Amino acid sequence: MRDGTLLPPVRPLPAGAAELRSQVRGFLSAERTAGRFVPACDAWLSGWDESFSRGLAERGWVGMTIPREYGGHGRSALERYVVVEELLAAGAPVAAHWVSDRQVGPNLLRYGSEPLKRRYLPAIAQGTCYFAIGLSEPDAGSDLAAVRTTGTRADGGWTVSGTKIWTSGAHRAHALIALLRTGPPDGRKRHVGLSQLLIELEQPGVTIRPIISMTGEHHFNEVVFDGVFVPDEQVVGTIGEGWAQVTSELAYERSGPERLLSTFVLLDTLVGELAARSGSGDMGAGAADAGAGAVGRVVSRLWACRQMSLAVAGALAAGEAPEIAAALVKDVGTRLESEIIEVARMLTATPGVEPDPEGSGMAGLLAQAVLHAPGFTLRGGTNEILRGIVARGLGLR
Amino acid sequence: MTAADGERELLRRTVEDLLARHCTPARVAAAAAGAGWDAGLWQALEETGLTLAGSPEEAGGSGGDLSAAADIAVAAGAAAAPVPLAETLAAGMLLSRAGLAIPSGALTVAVASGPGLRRVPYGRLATTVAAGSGRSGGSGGSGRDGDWLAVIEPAGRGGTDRGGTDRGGTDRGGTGRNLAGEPRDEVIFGGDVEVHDVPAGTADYARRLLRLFRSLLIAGAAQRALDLTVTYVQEREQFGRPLARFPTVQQELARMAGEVALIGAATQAAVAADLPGAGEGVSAVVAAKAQASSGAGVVAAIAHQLHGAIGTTEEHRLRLTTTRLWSWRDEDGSEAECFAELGRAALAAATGAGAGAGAGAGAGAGAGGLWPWLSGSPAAGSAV
Repeated sequence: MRDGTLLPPVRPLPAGAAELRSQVRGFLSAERTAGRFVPACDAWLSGWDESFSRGLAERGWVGMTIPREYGGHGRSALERYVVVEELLAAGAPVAAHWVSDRQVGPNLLRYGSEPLKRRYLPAIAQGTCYFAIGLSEPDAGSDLAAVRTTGTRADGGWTVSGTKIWTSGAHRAHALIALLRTGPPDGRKRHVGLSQLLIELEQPGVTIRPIISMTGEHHFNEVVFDGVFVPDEQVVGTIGEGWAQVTSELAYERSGPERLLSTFVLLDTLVGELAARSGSGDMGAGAADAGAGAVGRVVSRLWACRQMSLAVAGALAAGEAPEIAAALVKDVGTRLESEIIEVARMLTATPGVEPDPEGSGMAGLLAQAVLHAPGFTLRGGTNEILRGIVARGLGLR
Repeated sequence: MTAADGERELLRRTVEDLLARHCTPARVAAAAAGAGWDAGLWQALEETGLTLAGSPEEAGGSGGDLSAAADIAVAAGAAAAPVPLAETLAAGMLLSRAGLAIPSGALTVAVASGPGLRRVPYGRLATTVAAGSGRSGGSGGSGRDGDWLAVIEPAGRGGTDRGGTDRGGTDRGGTGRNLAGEPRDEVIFGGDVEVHDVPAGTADYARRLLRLFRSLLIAGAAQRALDLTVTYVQEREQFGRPLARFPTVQQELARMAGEVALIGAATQAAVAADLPGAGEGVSAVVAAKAQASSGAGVVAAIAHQLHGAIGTTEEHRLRLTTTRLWSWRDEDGSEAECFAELGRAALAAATGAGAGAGAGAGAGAGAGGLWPWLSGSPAAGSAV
């Protein structure tokens, strides 16, 4: 097998990326200085701030790839990549519009009917319409094709019943795109008969129950549909083609900068503190060298992961479907996110910093990172499932 | 696919085919046990002009850019080619950049850091292009302020002489080898070797070239280790089915693939960055060598674990690849050296951001200088 099949070529970012990057940096610096956000770990999951989302949208940084005719900005996927990685590196609160911007916009553009696009895309680009993802179910986690939520044919639409789980932000989102069963499987081919429906969450028959995380935060929910009527106009794509549609969506979900940068704020703060301590002579030469080596280890790996993520982004932008490489980015990137925590703990051992949920600086960031870390290698398909996808790509199964 | 892509693909296939014909496990092993190289392979490579790709034709090279030379080096690493191919490509680029003519035959590059040149790849067989700056030494360099290059002919091409003296008065030091049996020789040169004054930064460029080409060799070898392992686990049966069918085996192979892909991405990005001088961002070459060196050990370990005991034998071809990975990771800068270098640069970037007017306005979490430094590589398109 050639390396070309394992990894798409590394391509340069488009002209103008540097200018765009510096605009975003300037904006973030001003927002931070004004106290409008406090950088946090994993803020793309936990930092729900609708006014921040609207502020970004006003500058054209939400729904960037949506064409102008649908209220978007007609920018390229790689320009969006630049903006998003700047937001993530700064630990900015982007959770409110995250799913709409990353997934729903591209999904509707690719599969949505004209009325669906007209109805939702302008609001997504304005940063005022928030979505949740309806994939996992109580008995369908890694085994996604086991979904049991059903859409039964009704006059002019579908009647939906079933339960979705781990739906981030469903208690604040306006709508959800659900993967559900609208027809029987074809014998052992369970991928047959699945469809995607766009369901408004504020309507009778929809019950949203919180699932509180061990951080004490409320991101996840259980969403129960009890005979909810969904009109035909809300079908995304083609009935029966849901599996193929979802799979193509997942390449975006797995290979983005959010798979590398969830703990970047912790690393940034660590390096800042080490620099200050070694600059003030607070640290022996031996400790400074050991610190530099450990920082270099994670920094070089982060740099390499980013090159890989950029290569996948370039391939996606060129219309390719680099499924193996996308899975690899998630596997190596999310393990690095956790390794950064361990390096931070080692390098702040003397004097010790203990994770403190109420603390500021390192102590507070460590608390966020440690408690969020188990999720890094679970969400978006567990790393074990992803490695299975890689193995299949290598011809092993 | 553009015309340039097509040309690149054609070159890549030509090199791979030629190397595949010559680099049979028996010949690779024989080179290590004998003269230290495969003269027949070298002749075939020279005849096709592949040994000086990436150097301009005016200087005696065969043209093409760094990416062409890089593809050839990756192929050489994959094939475990027992010839100084990557070394000659690097030497050609170094000489032509300094405005010097490229001599014929096999070449190798060494950066002077003391009175002699130690563990020079293929030093006994190839013309050594030594680089240094001012006080960094070499008897030829003493008394100079700026950067210099010296071209030192080998004592007897193809021979295995020890401690002889060539016509330029150069004392051929002891010969040695690495874990794969590749020659790693001492070259000591006397005052009568001609030393050329060259533009400032040439010695640093030589160091970056060496790191980049070593990383590319590792990238090729890592990919080959993966390919060999994928093939082996599909053929080998235990408990009545191929090893490939066991989920634990699949998981380990996927981890290996992750390391191989990381090395590939890092080296490709370093090639795309085209060896710039010290800039504001992370050094792509240092980061690539750090990744190549740290990944090499992981890749070799998983390859051996999945091959079982047979992979550890002299007769199995896996060792031709893994012994190279274990040697190359420590040559031209181990990951420890590269980590330390990058870490110090990261800390310096963080310090600079704190002190910079305006830039440090939002000091505290998330306001540091690490990100601009990390994302500032020209390969990422953020630096102009």
